Amino acid sequence: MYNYDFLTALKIEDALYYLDRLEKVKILAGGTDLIVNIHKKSSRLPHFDYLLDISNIEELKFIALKKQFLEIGSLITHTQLIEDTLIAKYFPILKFAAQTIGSPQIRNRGTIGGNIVNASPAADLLPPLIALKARVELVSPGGKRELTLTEFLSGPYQTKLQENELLTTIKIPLLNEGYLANFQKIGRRKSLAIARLSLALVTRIDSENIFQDSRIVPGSATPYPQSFPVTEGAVNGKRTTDLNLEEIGEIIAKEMISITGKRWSTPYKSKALSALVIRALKEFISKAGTK
Amino acid sequence: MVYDKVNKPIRRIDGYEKVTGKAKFAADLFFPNLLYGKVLRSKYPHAQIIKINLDKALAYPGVKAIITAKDIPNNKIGVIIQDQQVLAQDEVFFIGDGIAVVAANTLETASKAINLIEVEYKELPGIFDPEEAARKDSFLIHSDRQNNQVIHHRLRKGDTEKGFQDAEIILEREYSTPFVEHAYLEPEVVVAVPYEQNSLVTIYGSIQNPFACRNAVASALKVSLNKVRVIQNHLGGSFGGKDEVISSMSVRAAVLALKTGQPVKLINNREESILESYKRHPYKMKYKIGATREGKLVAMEIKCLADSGAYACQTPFVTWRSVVQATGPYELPHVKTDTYGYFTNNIYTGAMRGYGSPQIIFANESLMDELAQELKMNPLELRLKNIYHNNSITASGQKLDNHTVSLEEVINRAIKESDYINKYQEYNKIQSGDKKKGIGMAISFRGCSLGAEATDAAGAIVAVQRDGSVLISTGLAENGMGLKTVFSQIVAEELGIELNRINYMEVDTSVSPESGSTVASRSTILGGNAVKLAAQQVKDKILAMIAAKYNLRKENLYLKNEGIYEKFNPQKIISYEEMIEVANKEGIFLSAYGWYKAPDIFWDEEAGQGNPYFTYVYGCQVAEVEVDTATGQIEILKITAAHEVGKSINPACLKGQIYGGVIMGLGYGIMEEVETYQGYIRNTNFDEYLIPTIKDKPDLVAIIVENPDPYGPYGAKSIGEPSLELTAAAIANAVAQATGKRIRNLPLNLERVLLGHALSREVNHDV
Repeated sequence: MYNYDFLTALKIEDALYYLDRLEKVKILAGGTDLIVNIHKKSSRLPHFDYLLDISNIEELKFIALKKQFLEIGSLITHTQLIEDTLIAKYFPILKFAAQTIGSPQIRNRGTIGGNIVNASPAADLLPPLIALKARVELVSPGGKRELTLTEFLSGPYQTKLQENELLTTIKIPLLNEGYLANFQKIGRRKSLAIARLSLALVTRIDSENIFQDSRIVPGSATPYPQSFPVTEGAVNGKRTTDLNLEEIGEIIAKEMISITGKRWSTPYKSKALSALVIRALKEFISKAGTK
Repeated sequence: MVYDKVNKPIRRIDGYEKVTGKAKFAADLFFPNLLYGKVLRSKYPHAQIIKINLDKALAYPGVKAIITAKDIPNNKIGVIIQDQQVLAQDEVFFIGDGIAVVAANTLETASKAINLIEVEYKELPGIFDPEEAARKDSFLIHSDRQNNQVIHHRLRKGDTEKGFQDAEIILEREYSTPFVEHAYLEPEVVVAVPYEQNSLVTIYGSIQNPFACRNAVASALKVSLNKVRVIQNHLGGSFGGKDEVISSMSVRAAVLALKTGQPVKLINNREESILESYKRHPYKMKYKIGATREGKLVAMEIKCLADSGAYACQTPFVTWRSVVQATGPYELPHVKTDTYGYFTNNIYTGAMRGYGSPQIIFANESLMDELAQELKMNPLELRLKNIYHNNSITASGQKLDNHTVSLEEVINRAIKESDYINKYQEYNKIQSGDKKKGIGMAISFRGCSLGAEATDAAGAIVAVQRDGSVLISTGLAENGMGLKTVFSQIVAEELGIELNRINYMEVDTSVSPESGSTVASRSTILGGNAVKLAAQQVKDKILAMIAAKYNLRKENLYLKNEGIYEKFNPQKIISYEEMIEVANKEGIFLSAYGWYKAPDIFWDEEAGQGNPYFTYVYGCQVAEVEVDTATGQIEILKITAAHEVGKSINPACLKGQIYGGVIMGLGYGIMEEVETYQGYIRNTNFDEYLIPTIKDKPDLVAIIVENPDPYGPYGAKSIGEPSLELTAAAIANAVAQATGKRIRNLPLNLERVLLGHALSREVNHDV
């Protein structure tokens, strides 16, 4: 059982005030991970003396189209991602990924910011967000800073968020014409399933039918979601007609093992990950072919 | 025969209060001065308890009492063998064993106090594999026994040695099934109230079997049965699961209630429920089958090993049902079956919907498909060559001559509805792409009710009140399947009245006639007969009374549409209410006890032969699947479930049973498994113990086949368990067709489908 004081912030500045003045503050957004960890007395949950509820900060609930970015407030729920027209127009991959999360109850509570900060290896939004080169804006009483997600994530369930910082905005660079995106997830059942494995793949196929700027990010495959540069390199520059899919399948499995070493789950995940990447590329190739 | 109230999809009589949230479950009960109990459980799967120090916990403010084994007058309970410790005495035998129970003013206080109890253990090595338990050099888990064997049942027919000599093809295969959890929505709750209305102690709770619970509490307290009153509350699911675990909790709560003189509520949270409550038995099964080239079965040899865990619990009877039904519904001249249960230091295992049948059906129905493949024969054709018909002789030597053997009929209905024959051919062709479809079937016969396990009888009271309203009370309990509705329909049918005149009472062991346990899919067939007999006695009194009053022949009178009629005369003689007035005036007692004892059966344990059940039901399920052979994901497209039930009293409730059973069987087939390692349980909540959600529901078709049984009320038999037992086997056969690879271990999870074997952090459990 935990003993803590419960705080509520209705404004960003109130939240920052608490974060600045108090120590050992745990932030509560949707609570879909945190409450479970409290219930489980999870070893992942560091000791905290305060629970700061930010879920009513209206300033953090927005989706806005800017010149170069789509900006998403950190308290946008998965349901809102699914229902938003800007998301559907610019980043349908996020919509698909959000649809695979938990159940309606979880999607109604859980937030994009929470999914990022919790930094689970199985976080459903992280692979697509990393593949989209999303950036996070972190605000503290001293000012704000911006990191790419790759910079932000530092380990399983670990980020570079400072104790006095609040994740306020997720900024996703808008994609030019010609980009394709795909998200796949394998669970042990059709809903309420933690990803056994997932894969986000974003790429551009240019007018010569050559793969460019591929971003390949598996979920639940590595200690925390990250790009697979070797596999990306193997895809980039290849013409759709020349790409050896089986070979890419082998490369991605090898790259996974190079990160994780051989684990008990490796025999399954290496085979299945190969299948997912092949499937995504096949879909891209057939789309490119029909253009 | 056309009925007015039975054989009709009448709305559930307890539906309104449940769907509106008005129904009170045990956790909703509050009493003045209520205390909350919390159990301290073992730290190890097997350990000696050196010392227990309660001082700090007792001194904690708000703590009223703490009990340990020495506070329980008789610490051993059990329905069959009394070996289950209510609280661990000197030794803990599994990870869920309780050591002490605190009663305090609040649940929070009780929860804090159990952490202040100091227990000194000496950790002991454990046995976690029944095969290891069976070895002669293994240590004794229960030192008062000769060996670790809980039970050994045998069935012998003909001469298998000779049979295999005659066989032209012999297959030997091994199969295994895992521990699974009942996963009822409502975790276990009991409230013990001391000295309430002349009882020493009254137990309220989510209790599947109020009389078994009363036996346990009275025996543990060493008091007579009439001092203990058990009242069942609405149950949020049980599936066989709220028996011994609830009895044990009831004893703990009762002892605390008597010690403090205050009511005590004991609630398991989900983790506690999964840690403490018994599971479905894991089985390891070796099958050997011999057949002719034409596909006629000649011999079968079967050996099944069940993991009983720490206590005997229901193992002796679970493995008995297995021994009777292990061949499946096939004519075989030579059979040799042995089923064994062994103690281990795993969580104990007991009753769960199916009760020893889902395991053996997974094995024998997988085996039939494997044999068909070897014989290059359609699995349907192989089955049809060997199934039971009227007058077939079963493996135990029973001639099936007292009811309609409906196997061929259920098969034909399921095959037709699912388009099995065409789809089987289609899916046998080479399929392009990663996603492959398959279709598979499984069939079964199942003995209704208890069989030779125990005396099989049930009682009911039908009591007509002064205003014509009716109270029904039976000893069998509503566990969610629709028993109250079905029994009320029977009374309404017999008395010719509307259902809204009837109020169905909760089971109260001080009022309701003891009827054994609500298990073995026996409620409709046993309890239904008892209710019908009670209602018929009331009817008889009414008819006699009216015949005398109006000078009519009693045998020409009948009750219908809230009135009494004479044959061939559409004019109502008098209304139901007028009849009741007559009875009130003339002082005629319009209440009756009905008592129904099942027809005689017998079982010769030594010879392994007998007539183990007085009747059987038959089922066939067909599963159609699509398997992603690149990721191991299975999509269940459609399940067709045809079940012969004798007669359906309420087709809507009955279909509900089929739908629920199929989904539960689907979970058993592809995802459910309580993961144990060295006696510890890994997945203690539903984030990791996965059961199907509504999104996993396939297209479901339930087919009811009716061939009235001479012994059933209106011919009705059973449905609860048959609906579950076939699904995993049908899915396994469909997946094997789709992938061309046979998986012989449940569940068919991602890893098994993709790799052919399971992966686990430590060891590979697959046989």
